[in-house]
Amino acid sequence: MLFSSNVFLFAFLPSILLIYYICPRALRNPVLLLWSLVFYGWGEPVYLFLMIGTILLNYVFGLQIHKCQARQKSAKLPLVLGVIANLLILGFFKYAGFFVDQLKAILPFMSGVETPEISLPIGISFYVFQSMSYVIDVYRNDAPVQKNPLTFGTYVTLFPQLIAGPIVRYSDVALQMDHRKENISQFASGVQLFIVGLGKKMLLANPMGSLWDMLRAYEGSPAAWVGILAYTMQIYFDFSGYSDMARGLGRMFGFEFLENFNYPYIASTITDFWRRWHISLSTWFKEYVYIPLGGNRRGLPRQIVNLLVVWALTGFWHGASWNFLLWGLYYAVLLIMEKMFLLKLLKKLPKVIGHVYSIFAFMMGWALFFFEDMSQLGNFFGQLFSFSGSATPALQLILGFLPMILIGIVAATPLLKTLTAKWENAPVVRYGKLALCAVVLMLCVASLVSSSYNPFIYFRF
Amino acid sequence: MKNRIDQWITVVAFCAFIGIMSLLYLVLPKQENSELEKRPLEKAPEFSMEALTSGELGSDIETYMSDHIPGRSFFVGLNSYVDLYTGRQVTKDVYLAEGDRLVEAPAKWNQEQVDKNMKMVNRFAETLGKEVDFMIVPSGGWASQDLIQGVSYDYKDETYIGWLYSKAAEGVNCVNVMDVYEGREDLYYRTDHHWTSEGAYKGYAAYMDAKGRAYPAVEDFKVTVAKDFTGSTYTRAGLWMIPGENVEMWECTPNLQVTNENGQPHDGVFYLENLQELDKYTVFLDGNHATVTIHNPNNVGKGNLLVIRDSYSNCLGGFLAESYENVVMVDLRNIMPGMVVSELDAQYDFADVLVCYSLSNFLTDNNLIKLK
Repeated sequence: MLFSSNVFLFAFLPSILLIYYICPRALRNPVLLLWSLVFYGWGEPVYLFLMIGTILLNYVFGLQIHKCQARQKSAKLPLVLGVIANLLILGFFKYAGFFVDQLKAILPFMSGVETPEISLPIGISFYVFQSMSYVIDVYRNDAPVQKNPLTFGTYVTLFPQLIAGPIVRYSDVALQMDHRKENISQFASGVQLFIVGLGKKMLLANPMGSLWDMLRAYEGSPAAWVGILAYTMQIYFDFSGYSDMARGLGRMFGFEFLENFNYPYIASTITDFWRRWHISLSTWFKEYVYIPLGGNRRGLPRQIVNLLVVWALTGFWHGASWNFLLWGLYYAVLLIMEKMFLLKLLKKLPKVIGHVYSIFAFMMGWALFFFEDMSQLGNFFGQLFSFSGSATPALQLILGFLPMILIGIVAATPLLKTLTAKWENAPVVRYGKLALCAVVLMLCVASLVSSSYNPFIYFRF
Repeated sequence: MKNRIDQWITVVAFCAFIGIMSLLYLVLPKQENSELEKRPLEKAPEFSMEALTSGELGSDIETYMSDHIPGRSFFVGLNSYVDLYTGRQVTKDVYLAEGDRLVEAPAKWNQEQVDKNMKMVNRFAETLGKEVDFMIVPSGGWASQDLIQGVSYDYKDETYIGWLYSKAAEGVNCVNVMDVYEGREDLYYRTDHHWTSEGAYKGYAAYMDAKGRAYPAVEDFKVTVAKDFTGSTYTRAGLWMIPGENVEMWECTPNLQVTNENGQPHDGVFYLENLQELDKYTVFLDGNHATVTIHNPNNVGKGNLLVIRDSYSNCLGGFLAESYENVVMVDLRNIMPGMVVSELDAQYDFADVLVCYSLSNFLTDNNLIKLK
């Protein structure tokens, strides 16, 4: 189920809120679990089995680790098995097809093997990573073991963050699972955050996405540059909008998830960018891969290797395709260069140069991210740097979308937030926010409804 | 921290909104058809194990809910105005022009289809062994292009019609009416893609001038008016605040006889009962029919006319009947499979043959292949 759907807004959400709040506290986690399973199974009920299997598996490994530690024995074996089991699940459902294809390309005797056609279970990359964080956190004593399988199931399936993150580490919510107190001001800020996220997705990401789709039909530099700018905005508003909705919904049920995006496009370096973009994922890789590999404590050469490993994995996490790997390594190279000399250099230069460099770098990054086909990617870079003109309709399209592009650029910066920060508690700001949220919600519903409005008029012509 | 009133309002308003909407879904009666959209709305999904496990049930429910959302046309309208005022009308298929005018976006050119259609027209003249007149009416958008608000794609009606006419073979006479409509947005409806009765009259007059035939003057017509017409561009644009407009019925010879493929003869070219329907344009010849014959008893001996046509001729037909004994009109989209249009000539021995289309229809219609 998607948040931006009629079913979610006008059936799922009202019913879960109602049932959740009339239930006694002891039943609230099981109710959340049940509803989250419905949420997950809505599109592909088959994968409910996979979900339940993943929950049970990690629950058992958590218990085993706990048991070993209670008896003062090494819990390494259950930990390693647990991590391997999770990686196998992810590997099979996400990467099997890709690897078989690669093997077929290099090993002639494999050519007869059919590539398995496995449709990617929604959210698998997210919930497998969450489950792994649980097993590891319990092993490291960063979080207590969860003995109630229903509560553990609630943590893994929690519908707000189930299918697109943020990746909530168990240690961050362990306490909230059993001891959270819902209250009005948290609920109210949750509603606002949810609406802001919905607005980012429906009112900004979707139009930018359609602009990008339309511009790809045209050649020439203006179409390519505005196109990649539109995609840059689409991917940010889509993803951060989803994270906002998740955090907002979490708050409605008394959960507090960590921030996942912090205005990434105002970053002045790529190091800074990655502290602001998809924070829960970079934190995950830092905590569970980079630091265990030795991080920066074992000398520069080792650090470079560690960075390359982490970023190759980060890239690959985004999808089973070479371009994602390339995209990850591209950032590894930029980050290594920044660590070695670029950061020092940028510090000496005017700040605007850092911004220009960062914007350019992540826009090129998104081009790598978008094109799975290398020849299309090559062609697109050709258009970007050919400095040739685009056809008139492309320019008219750009002109028509100019207001939206400007709104998008402003919305991607903290401008509004900074302007109102001083008077945060003034009634005009508080009620202004409220009114804005009401308008945004109406516009989102309007946009949602309109997508199904298609008058059949052919017979009239 | 003390709870503030604005927080309570936020929570209550939000919960009330989604709660009331979901209650309305449950209690409001469901319509089967959308009059505005002219299509059946999604029926309540039926539960089955198969639908559930395949995930189809989920997507059916979503479609059902969006088709039946309370306040649907309000939300559609809201979205249309937002798109308009944020400049995005360029991507729509209807543009807003000055004077509350809604016009179709420029027609799309599909070389393959256009080549085919021209070939069919040329082939028809050859099969028939008679001269065929070919008249393409430019679009209302082109006629209003200087009035369009905001950014829009360019209209290329001159180029397109020029290209079509240049491909006409010998035996196909092109009737150029560009001058008649250039800058004359008033010859088209404000809320519909068709020409008005005056627009159709001008087309008729231009054709008669080309044929050297006599035709009644404007003053010879008695005009009656029906109010509150909103047409296809209104429905598609979703800009509900645009007011409706008048439909004029021009009548000169009152005793015209109309017969269509259903057989039942009708007195006069106006089907007044259709004025009660949402789509009032069907007052002209009852909308689209495969074959329509208009007989003028006062014109015996003045020859017959064959018109291969689209819906622009629903309104044109009544005028043409003022100058012929019989006007036979064929809509290729609706004819019986296997019908050979040229065989009509044996029965009627047509004095004139006209292929008359609006530009956008001629560019996109894939039924001309049936023209034999």
